[in-house]
Amino acid sequence: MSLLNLLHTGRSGLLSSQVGIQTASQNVTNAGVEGYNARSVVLSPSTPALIGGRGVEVVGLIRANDPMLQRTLLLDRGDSAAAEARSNVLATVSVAFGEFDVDGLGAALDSLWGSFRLLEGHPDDMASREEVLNRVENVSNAFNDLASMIQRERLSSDDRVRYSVDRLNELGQRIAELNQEIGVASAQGGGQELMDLRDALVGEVASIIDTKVLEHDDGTVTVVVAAGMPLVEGEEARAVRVDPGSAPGAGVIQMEGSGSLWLDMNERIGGGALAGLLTARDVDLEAIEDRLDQLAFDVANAVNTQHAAGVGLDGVGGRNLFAPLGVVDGAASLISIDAAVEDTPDAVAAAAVAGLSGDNRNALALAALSSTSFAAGGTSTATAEQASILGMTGAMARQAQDQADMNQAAQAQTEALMEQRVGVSMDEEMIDLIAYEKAYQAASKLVALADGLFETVLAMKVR
Amino acid sequence: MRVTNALIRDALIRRVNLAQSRRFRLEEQAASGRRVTNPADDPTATAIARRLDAAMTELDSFAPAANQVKARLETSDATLGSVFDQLIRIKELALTMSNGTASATDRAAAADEAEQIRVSIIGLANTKMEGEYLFGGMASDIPPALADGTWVGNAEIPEVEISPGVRVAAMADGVEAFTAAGGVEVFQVLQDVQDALLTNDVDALRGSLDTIEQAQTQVRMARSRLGPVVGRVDAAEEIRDNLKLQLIEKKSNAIDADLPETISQLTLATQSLEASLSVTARALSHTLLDKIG
Repeated sequence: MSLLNLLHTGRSGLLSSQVGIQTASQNVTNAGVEGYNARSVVLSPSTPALIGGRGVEVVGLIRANDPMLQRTLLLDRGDSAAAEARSNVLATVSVAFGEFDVDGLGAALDSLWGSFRLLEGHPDDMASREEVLNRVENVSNAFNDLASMIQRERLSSDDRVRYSVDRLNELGQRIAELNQEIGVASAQGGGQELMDLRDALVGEVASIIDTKVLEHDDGTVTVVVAAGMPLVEGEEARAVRVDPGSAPGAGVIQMEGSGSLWLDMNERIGGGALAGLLTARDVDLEAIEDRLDQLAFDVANAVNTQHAAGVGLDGVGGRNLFAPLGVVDGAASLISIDAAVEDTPDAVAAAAVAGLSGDNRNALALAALSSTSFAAGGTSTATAEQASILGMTGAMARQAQDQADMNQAAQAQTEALMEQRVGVSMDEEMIDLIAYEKAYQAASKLVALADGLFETVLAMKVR
Repeated sequence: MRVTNALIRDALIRRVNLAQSRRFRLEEQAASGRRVTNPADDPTATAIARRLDAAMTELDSFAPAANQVKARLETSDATLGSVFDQLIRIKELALTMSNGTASATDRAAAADEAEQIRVSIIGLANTKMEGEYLFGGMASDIPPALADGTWVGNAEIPEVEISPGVRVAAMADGVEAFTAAGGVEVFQVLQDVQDALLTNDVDALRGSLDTIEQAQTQVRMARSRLGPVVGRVDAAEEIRDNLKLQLIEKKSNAIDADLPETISQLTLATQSLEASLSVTARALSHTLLDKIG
């Protein structure tokens, strides 16, 4: 054992304490930073080991991490974002359908039946006839408005899909860059700040699309999305896009493959905002629209059939009130008043036969449609079916909201667990600071002692 | 369990947010008086409320026709009453003139009066109300009685709905009241009396007393049929009003907030929020930093 060694031991103690104090300070100052994982110093006895040792050395800095929890957190983020995206779309649609103001589809249908009833009482009165035509237009407009609203939501969801895909591309690029930087830095024992940043970006990816992360020993990660499609592998990021050939409001998401192939992703996406948006855009809105179209078709058909059975003031029958609709698809946006009767109140067929101005028998039959179950495959009146569609829309929005709330709660719980594992505790850091301070004091005492021993030796007289 | 500062902070934020949003929701309900403001709040209640609204609108739609029927029938009733009075007069005339004490001159003068009565009854048969001939049946745009007494009114009577599923005849039956379908051709009877007076035919006059009575009966019967219909219209109105009250109540139960309940929940939620907030203020100040100098 040499005195120099003793000095060296003391010195190593001073240095390592300094690193400890620095690390604790770093933790304290960054405690409030989003995504900051607590660092800790790894110390170990110096090598090579001599008798008595050679002091302590700083092996490295550890960044607190929990890969298992991280995996769960990414899943939770994905589920949460999906449910929220879907819920937002459905909430908008549900409120638009809401009938608590006077002008909805339901009120329009009520007024149409009411106008037939008015016609019953005054079959030859121009005002009653005009009222019928007005109400036919009203009903058409109400259907058209709802159909437009659904289409608007569809396009809007599609926009959000496109925006998210763009963001995904940016994130992929950045993560690939970070992978490269981290690879270099961690070889030298650093890179923790870069890892924090990268984890934050991966978290954002998970909120856009379902994400799995594979960690490698060199600190880099492989990011896999949409049930097995690699977004980032090492320093390479694959591009993502919306197929330019997609129909408006029906964007198909694709990932670049080998050659100049693009691989469709929509069916594979199981989480993230994209999943929620695609479900809302392609499934939910579709379901509502189908029922609305069917109702519009049924109403136009039933009214037209009965109306054609009667005659107008000119004795002519076989006329339609609504422009005839050939197919159910798109009926809600196409339904309109028949051009042949539009400005011709005389044409309204209140009578059953020609020549009797007080004949209101067809008006009675038209009014009776309000209680006839011609909608929903013959099981429901128009009013009941419209109320049912309204209820269905509300139920979908409700269910989506509940799902979003549940997923939010689950995510919050996972985040709390993660925070417990990797977060900074002020108390712990304070204690560490005090401990390292004491260690520093002890080490400096050691240096003083070694110095003292040296003095003693140097003061020895040589005879 | 390792408790970090961020953990405490996040938990507090979450708790306060929950308390705030719960309170906000209750406040909205109390202020609007509505438990359900959006279909997603309660889809079933929304659908129910919509159907109730439709039912209420439908009930309202019966009122104009029902009122019109009633007005028309009441006017028809009064008109037939006048016809009846005129028939009484013609019977008196026929009776008096069939007496041996009347002279040919008297009868000639009576014939003039008979003519006036006949024309008057034709006028009454052609009474119009709001552009429609009350006794014309479905041909309500043409006067049912021609100047010569021929009936050109239509035998079909239009019906209207006065309440869900209930239809009534919207007009008096002119054919039954004035033509052979109801007994005798009233105008023919009047014409016969007039002719008999003009030709001084006492036997014919005596014979006409019988037919005039038949005419009177016929008109009285036609009149008596109107009363019950008006009664049904009134009854229907009452039923509609009651039904509407029930619907209003049902709708209120479905979507309105129970104010006392809501307000007491609001008070609780506010207290809960206050508690959360004051705990939050204190919770962040327990670290080692406060203890070491």
